Amino acid sequence: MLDQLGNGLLLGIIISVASVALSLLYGVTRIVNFAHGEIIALGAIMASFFSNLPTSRYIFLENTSPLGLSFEISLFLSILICGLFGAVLELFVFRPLRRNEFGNIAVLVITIGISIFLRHLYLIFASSKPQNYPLDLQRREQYFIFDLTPRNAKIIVYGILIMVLFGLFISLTKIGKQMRAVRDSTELANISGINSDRIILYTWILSSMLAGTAGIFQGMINDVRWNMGFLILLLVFAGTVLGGIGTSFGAMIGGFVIGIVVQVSVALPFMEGHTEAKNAIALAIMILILLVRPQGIFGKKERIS
Amino acid sequence: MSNNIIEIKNLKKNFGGLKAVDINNLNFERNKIISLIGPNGAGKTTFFDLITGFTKQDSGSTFFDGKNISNLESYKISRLGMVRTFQLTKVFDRMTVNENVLFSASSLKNDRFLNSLMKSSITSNAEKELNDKTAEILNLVNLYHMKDSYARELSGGQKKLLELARVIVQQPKILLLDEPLAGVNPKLSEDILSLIGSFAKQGISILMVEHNISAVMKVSDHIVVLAEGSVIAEGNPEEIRSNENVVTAYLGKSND
Amino acid sequence: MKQRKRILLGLFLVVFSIGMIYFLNDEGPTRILVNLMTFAGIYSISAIGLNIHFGWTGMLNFGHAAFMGIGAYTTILLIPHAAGREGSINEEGLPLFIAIIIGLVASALFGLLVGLPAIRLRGDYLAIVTIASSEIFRLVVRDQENLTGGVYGVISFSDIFQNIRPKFLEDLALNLDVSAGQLWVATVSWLMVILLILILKRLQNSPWGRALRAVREDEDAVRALGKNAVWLKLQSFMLGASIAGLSGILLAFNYGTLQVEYFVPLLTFYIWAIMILGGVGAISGPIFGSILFWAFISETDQIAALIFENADGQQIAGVRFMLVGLLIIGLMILRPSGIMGKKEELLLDVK
Repeated sequence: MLDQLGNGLLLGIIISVASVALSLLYGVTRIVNFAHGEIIALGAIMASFFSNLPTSRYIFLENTSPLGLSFEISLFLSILICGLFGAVLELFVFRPLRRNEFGNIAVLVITIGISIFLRHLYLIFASSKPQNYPLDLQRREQYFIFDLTPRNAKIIVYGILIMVLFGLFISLTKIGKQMRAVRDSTELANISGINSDRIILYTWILSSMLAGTAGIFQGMINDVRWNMGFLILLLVFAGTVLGGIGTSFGAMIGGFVIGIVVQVSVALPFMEGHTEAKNAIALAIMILILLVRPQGIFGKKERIS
Repeated sequence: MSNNIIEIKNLKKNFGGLKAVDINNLNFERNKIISLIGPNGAGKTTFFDLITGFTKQDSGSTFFDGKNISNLESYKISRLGMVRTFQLTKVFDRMTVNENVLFSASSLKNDRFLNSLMKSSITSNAEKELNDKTAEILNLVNLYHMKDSYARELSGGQKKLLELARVIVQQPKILLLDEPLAGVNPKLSEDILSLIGSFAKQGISILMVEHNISAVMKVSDHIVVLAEGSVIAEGNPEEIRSNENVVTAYLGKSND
Repeated sequence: MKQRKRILLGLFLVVFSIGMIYFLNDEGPTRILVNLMTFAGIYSISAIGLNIHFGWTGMLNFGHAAFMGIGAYTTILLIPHAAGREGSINEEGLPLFIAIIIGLVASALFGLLVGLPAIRLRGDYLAIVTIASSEIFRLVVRDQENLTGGVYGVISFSDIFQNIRPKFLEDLALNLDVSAGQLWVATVSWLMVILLILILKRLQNSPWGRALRAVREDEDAVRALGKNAVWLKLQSFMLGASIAGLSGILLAFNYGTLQVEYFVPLLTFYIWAIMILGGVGAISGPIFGSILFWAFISETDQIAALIFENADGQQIAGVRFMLVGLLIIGLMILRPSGIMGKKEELLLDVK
């Protein structure tokens, strides 16, 4: 069980970061973003493109080779690109849709279209073979009670740091406060002189950068695949819903819980030999939570029926 | 049979610690037009939601026609003969005016899946009868000429009329009207008021929430004033007009 | 646009895209066409089911693949088959017709099971719960290898279906140089489509169909008028699910094998694309939507082969799916009422 707890913490961090991003976007824009998974994958794939050696040649069609940059720089560039991509989505897709008063359902379906499009774009350009970052193999060590490689231990620390910084940003900075104002009521925010368009743009950028970060973490722990985002998306939804969709703190905790549940459930007696089905447990928990407490664990009581 | 169609005892509802409704004892007489008035946030709509089962009450009991309906599901309450409308009109936008009323007029038996599957609906007698009944009601509210338009194409006032048609076709025992005149032009308001009067004459009790005080004073047999979730006064229009509590709490502010 | 104009537009597009099939394929266009029309028939059945959920009742069901899967697995596992790694043959089985009935009931019951917790939730939550349910279904089927064959799937179950194939189809298949087995699946599928359309035509303007549409428009008003909105939604869920189950069964017979990977969320999204393309809520929408969708897919494969000279299967599939994504986006933005949908009843523009 303890072996799994470390893995659970790792997965928990990833889902947590991705859930916070999804939840923030939902809170401010009311978009249920099915393309969130593809932004996660974008971060991972970009990092692979920047960091792998040109000679490895296993990414990006025959004529484009990886750049072989240092991993830290690759990381930085990838997250930046994710942010930029979020901005592009908002400016060229979602803002025009908002201007033309597209309904929530229509926008949701459009995010599905975007998700399918991007995922297969990755398939074509980033190939169907799983890839790894050029990082050394590391031996597992004992940290407190967890059995982890030093790099994975670092991911947990950085993950927590990112979320603390995010929490501070959202509660202390002016932009963070404005995001919360728009989340509570776009009209009120507009009346009080907040440029909601700009805040929504910032939200897209921030959400996409967080998603990209989660993707890179995921790529470091497992590998980079074209469809990795979609594989993890439902768990991210589960984390978001569990904590209460639209609440950052709830998503943070919800994501953790889902990650830990998924990994620890493998150690349960009745799960022996059924590790492939571990995600089903997390999804079932999400459905149960919605049944008994539809607003999620930390969500405010809002009409959701 | 008691002379009261609705009897309410100790009805309480809090929203996150804030008192929304707290009514000790309130009865509504049969065959009367009764109006519920009070300043914004007095809990009028919440009161409607509570007795029609759209919001769960914290405690208390409500008797409708001698039957305890507290905690009964909304559609069951409606089937007993207590039918409501909404403050923000809820017509079926993407259905025709005719279909809006047909849906309401159709019996539960007629609505059944197997019934619909087995009988060809266009030719069946039940559907013809429904259509006749619907036509009659639409003529009554003066919407027959619009019967094949989509409900979303109606004006705000016409939507109110359609909602009235939809509830009256069920011949309920009591009608709960939530602001039937809101956003309606004066001419149409007159029509709606006379419709309400004619419903009352047919023996349908009327309970309505309305902000248009002069209209309320004109048509009501009895008025109940709510403020901060509680009844602060009740009586006939004359009594209410001269009640100082009401004047200070409400009428003085709202009549300007 | 008038109804007649919409039908003409639909017919024109169908003729055009079938013409394109013959134009783009020098070798065996008829074979391609039969293959395409088989899938189109099967998928339009599924889209008819989804149309009841979303088009009529307004429920955002994103777990349609599981309803198809439940029907397929229940029926196929009840008739003689071989499942799993060893492929041990199970000769015992129920008669086909009874197995199909049980399969349809199983789909309906699964619809009820998913519907019960989900039905009270607002649209976007319903979307998440249904897609999660469908993934739970897929993961459990993968996992229960003893019963379902897991990732190895189920094979050798088609005989019982192909044995009842009428003789004249074989001559026809020989003449056309196409597979008689597939021609039989196609025939049954399209007969089913016609049957369903006839049933739905009757239901749409019936009191029950009207009640579903009222639920779609405003549940509160439905309840205020004394109708049980939850029960209506559950009925809709069950009917649509069992129609999807029928489509799943035919899908299995068309492939001749049953693999759990048929029932990924992408299948659900395909059905959504077909429903939107055909026109949400329109009874004949799924037919046009499905034929055009499959013609589109078949033709994009040719285009992909042109773009990438040394394209492998993965890349061709990639281009095809990318275009499906673009199709969904483009339709939603440019023509959300699809081919047959009425603008006035457009479901996707408000709220």
